[in-house]
Amino acid sequence: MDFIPPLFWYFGKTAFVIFMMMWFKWTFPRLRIDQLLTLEWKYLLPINLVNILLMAFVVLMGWHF
Amino acid sequence: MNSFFKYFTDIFYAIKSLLTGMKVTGRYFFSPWEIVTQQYPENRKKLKMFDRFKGEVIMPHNERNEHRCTGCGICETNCPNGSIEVVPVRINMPDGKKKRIIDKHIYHLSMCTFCALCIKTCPSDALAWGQEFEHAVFDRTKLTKILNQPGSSITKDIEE
Repeated sequence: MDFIPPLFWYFGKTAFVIFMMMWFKWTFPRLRIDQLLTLEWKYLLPINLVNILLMAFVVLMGWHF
Repeated sequence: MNSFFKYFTDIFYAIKSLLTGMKVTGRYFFSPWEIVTQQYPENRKKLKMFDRFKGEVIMPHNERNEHRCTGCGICETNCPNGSIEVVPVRINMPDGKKKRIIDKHIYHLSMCTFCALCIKTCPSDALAWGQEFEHAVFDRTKLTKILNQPGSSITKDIEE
């Protein structure tokens, strides 16, 4: 992919991320505070804890780069 | 175990529902002449609200005119702005015991903030969200509703 100059890569990626954020924000209403707390405590936190365990196991086995 | 699987299916259902919404707005982005919103007064005959819509608090009755309310008053205690009044009555059971049942479950829609604390805390799942949303009336006494239907009784399988 070297035939695309780095400048275009940079701005292309930036525009893509901005477009995704705008798409998301214009699609969904804000989360209510109880929905936000449910998402964070009941879903994101357990996923994080499982991720820590998984990564610790990966490091232990030496499967990383 | 069932709720364990429900946790994970809920996550995938949530992601799927997010993608459904993104699909609608994504399509609208490329074809803005298409109508994607609800055309409310025209479609009110077949308008179906979404599952989590909070229209009003109702007490579902089954086909034998039975509800699930034991009259414990937990909904009344939990309501932050006093929009629920449970009027219990004591009746004599055939075996000589006294039993507490509801006489009236009074719901003031005008004071309700739709926080769902009554529905969440009900131990016998007697309350639910109704889908009705056209609440405009000319007389505010019409907003005070009695949720248990006349002549209704409690479902037999509920233990106190």
